[in-house]
Formats: sequence, C-alpha cells, structure tokens
Amino acid sequence: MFVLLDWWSTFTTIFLSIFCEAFPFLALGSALAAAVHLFVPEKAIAKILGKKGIGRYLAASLAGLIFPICECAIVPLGGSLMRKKVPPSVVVSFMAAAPVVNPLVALSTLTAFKGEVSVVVVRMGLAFVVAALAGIFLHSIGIDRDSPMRPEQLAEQRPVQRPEQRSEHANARTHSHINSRTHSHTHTHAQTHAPTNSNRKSLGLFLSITAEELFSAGRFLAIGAAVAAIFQIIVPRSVLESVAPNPFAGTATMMSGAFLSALCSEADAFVAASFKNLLPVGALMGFMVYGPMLDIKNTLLLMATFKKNFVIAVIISITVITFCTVVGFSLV
Amino acid sequence: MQLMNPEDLERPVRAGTFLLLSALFAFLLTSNRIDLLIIHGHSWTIAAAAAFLAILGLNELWGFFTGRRRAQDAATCSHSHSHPHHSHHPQPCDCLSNRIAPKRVKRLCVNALIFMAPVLLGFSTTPAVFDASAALHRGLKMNLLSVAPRHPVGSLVELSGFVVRWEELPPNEMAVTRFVVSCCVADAVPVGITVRHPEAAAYPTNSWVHVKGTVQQESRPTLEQGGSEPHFFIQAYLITAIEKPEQPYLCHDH
Repeated sequence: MFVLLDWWSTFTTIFLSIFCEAFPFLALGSALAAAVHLFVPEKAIAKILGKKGIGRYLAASLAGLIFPICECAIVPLGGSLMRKKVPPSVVVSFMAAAPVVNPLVALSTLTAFKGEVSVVVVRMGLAFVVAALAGIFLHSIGIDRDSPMRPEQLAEQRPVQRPEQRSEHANARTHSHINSRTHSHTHTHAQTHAPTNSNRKSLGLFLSITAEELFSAGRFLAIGAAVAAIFQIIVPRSVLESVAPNPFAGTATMMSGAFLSALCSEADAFVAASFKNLLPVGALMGFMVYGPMLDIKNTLLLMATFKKNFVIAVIISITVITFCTVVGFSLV
Repeated sequence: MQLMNPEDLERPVRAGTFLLLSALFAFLLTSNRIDLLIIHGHSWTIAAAAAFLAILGLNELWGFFTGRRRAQDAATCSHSHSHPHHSHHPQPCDCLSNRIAPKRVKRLCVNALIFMAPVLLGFSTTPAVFDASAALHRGLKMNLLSVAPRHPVGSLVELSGFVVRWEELPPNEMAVTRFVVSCCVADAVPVGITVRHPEAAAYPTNSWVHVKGTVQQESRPTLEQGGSEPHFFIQAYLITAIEKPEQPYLCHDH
C-alpha cells in the first residue's frame, strides 16, 4: 500500500511537471499557428519557400536557426503551414529539424557537455541530415499527393485572410464570409462592410482560433505526459545503460528511451550527458537527435492534427532514417 | 434555435477549461509548488500561460454571450459547402449540427474530461520530492563534485544533500546526493558523492546532511558496472543533520 502511494505521488509529480513545462510552449505554438493562419498570406510563404527541388528541404531543415521552436509548439504551427499550401513533406522537414537545429538547443547542449563543441556540431549535423532526408523521402513516396489533415480539421477550417484583402485593407481582416475569389469583388465587398471595430474583432478571432487549436492539442499533451510518467516510473534509467557497447542495440534502446521519456529538447542534452562515460557517442546521438523529433507527446499531437496514415509514414521514415544515420555515424 | 447544438456548447466548455487551467497555474505559482515541478527560471512561462489562458477563456465567454458562433461556424458552413458566396445572414446555419452533433459533443466532453486530470491532480496533490529510491531508480552518478567547480585532491569541501545507500556500501560510508534539474523534474539527474565518516551510519537514508571534509581519491569499483571514472570521495570531519531545503533541486543554469 505504501509503495503504491509512493508510486502515485511520483506519477502525479512527473505528469504535472511535464504538463506544466510543455503547456506554455504549446499555447505559444497555437498562437503562432493562429497568427500564421490569419495574417500570413499564402503567397508570402510560397515566395519564401522558393522553387521546387531539394533546396527547400535544406532550407526547411535550417529554418529552426531563425525560428527556435520546440517540439510541442511546432505541431500546431506545422498544421497551419500545411493549410497554407506548404507541401507536407517540406513541413515534415521543418517540424523534425527545428526542435534540434536551433540556437537555444545548441547552447544547452554545449552547457550540458561542458563546452565540447564537437558534440553540438554532430548533433545539429545529424538532425539536419535526418530531417532533410525524411522530407525528401516522404515526397518521393508521394505523401504530398493528398492533404494529410484530419477530416475534422478540414471541416473546421477557419476564415482565411486573402492576400489581396490584406494588402489593400490591412485593418479590415475579419470577414469570414468574404469568400470571393476575384480581386475586384473582394475590393468592393471589403469596402462596403469595412467594420469600425475590425481590430477588436480580428483580435477576438485570433484568440478564438488559438483557443480551438490549444483545446484540441492540449489533451494529447496531457495523455503524452501521463504515458511518459508511467514509463519513467516503471523503467529504471539504468536499463538504458545496460545495452551500452553494441551500436545497433544501444542506438535502438536510447531512441526508444528518448521517445518514451518525452523530455523537452532543451533538457535532453543534460540527461544524455549523464550517460556520457557509460555509452558510446552514437547511442547518445540517437537519444538527442530522435527525442526532439519524435516522442510520445508530440506523436499524439501529430495524431490530433493529421491523418493516421500520414502520421505512421512520418514516424516510420524518421525512425528508420535516424537509426541508419546514427548507426552509420557510429560505425564510421 | 435549439439549446443543445454542439456549437453552443463548445465555447463555454473551452472557456471553463481554460479558466480552470489558468486558475491551476496561478495556484501553483502562488503556493510555490511550481518550484517542485519546473526550474525557477521557467516560472515566468507559467505566469504568462496563466494570463494568456485567462484571456482565451474570457474571449470564449464573451463570444458565447455576444457573437455566438460568428467566427468558426460561418467558416465551417461555407467551407463544407464550398459556396462561392455566402450570404451575410446573421443567424448561424444549422446545416452541420444535426449530422455530426453526437460525435462532436462526445469529443468535446472527452476533451474537457482529459483536461480535468491535470487540474484535479494539481490542486489536490503536493508534488513529491524525489528521494533515495528515486535516485537509485534514475541511475545515481557519483560525480557531485564535478557539478561544483573542480576540487583537487586534498582540498576542503562543504556540501549538503540527502543520504542514499545501497547494499554493497560499507557502514562507514554513504552517498550524499542531489537531483540536478534542467527544465522540469522529469529530467532530474541524481548526482552524488561518497562520504566516509566513522559515524556515517547514524544518518538515516533520505535524511539531509551538511558535510565538511577533504577530497580523497582511491581506486575501487564504482556503482555502475565497468565504470572507469576515477573514484573520489569525501573524508568527512564534520557532518550535521539539516532540514530539507525549500529548494531541494539543483538547477543547471543555461
């Protein structure tokens, strides 16, 4: 009985700590997604993305350097980008890379490994390669052919600000019922109905879209945090050490550990560093490259937003590519 | 207009959920319980989230009492029917509600219930502080000294922590341990140092002690199998029992 109580309080503590740590960032991600949805026109994104080809995957994998967004915040934002007609495979590259290849994570990794720059470089480099390859691979198997958004996500698709409207009536951006496609029509429509309180309305719209996004994603964060807490209680961390020297088993174990313990990408380097002298660098890289890309909480977040087949394709490709890349690295 | 349209429920349910979560975060902050969950340097994110959730919740309430389903539902209807022109009618269309109402209401309820888990647990439980058994479970590393600035062999050190023991440990030794947290306690890493003192056994496992002693080094097997780190320990000359500090965790400063 006492042991059970002990487990229960450890469980609630770990559960609440993951939830509290991640929730503000999920809220930030939802707000960013709503902002992109309302205020960033498709054309602007298309322009930034540039031409087709491998270049955009490389760019997407480096975008985290400019937008340092962690793995919880990135899923709502990714969904929002796809609604803006960004090819899903490019978004996958972005979602996989940004939580690792970003300055904040570089800094925390450097701190955790007490200034060993090589660890930082290898971590960033491997994550960049994995993210770009995953995007290119998913494109080549035709993932971009149909929309990966879940049907209800499509049904709930919200009013969109058309680029024409935005450029001409920067302040009148609320009209959900303006659905006209033609420039001239938009123009007259927006003029005749330009509301006096448009700024307030658009703030309200922004907030309600954020709320909707956060409400649908937040439950998955709660479930993910619970699963991670159970895993942390049941499996002693020393299990991860016991497989040490074998690059295949070591990498696989550390990747599973990273997936299930759902640490945030700024913190996982410190946990990895605690294994430093016990595990080969390759296994540590498996932990630090894979964990931020996929873990139990953001997998559930992905399922909230995207169709099952798409999520499965993403998980399999990122997992296999990470494993091969990391094992390849440790054998070299 | 029927009262039980799912659209009528969604905004107030979201409002209630967000206001409760906001209250939870405010409660965790004001009761200082948050410091036992995430590092102090991240408290501001909780404060910001509490404020933001309150704004979101109030906006949903406001929308419920005034505009009703202005934003989302006009879009829902226009998109699902892909009408090129949607008339400017003020009353919300009920085109979808009948068809998908039960599914939507169910999802809404399940969502709200899941959110109640952190709310209820957060209000009702005091966060546990990880102890000796957690330290062993999480793989105790005997490198507490390397967390602090380097101490050469023979130098005087002073540190505090809680007592951890395991079977093979001789009676005149104990591991004085701290958890180091980098973001939230889920990533806590236990680090300890062996302390040797003739009366070490007098300090029970999990009790907090303050130790003064000199750094020594010897060659002996470490806790981990095949551990190759040089094994340091502290030859203590003074051990004092102390209260558990208010902040039992050490933090990495990024």
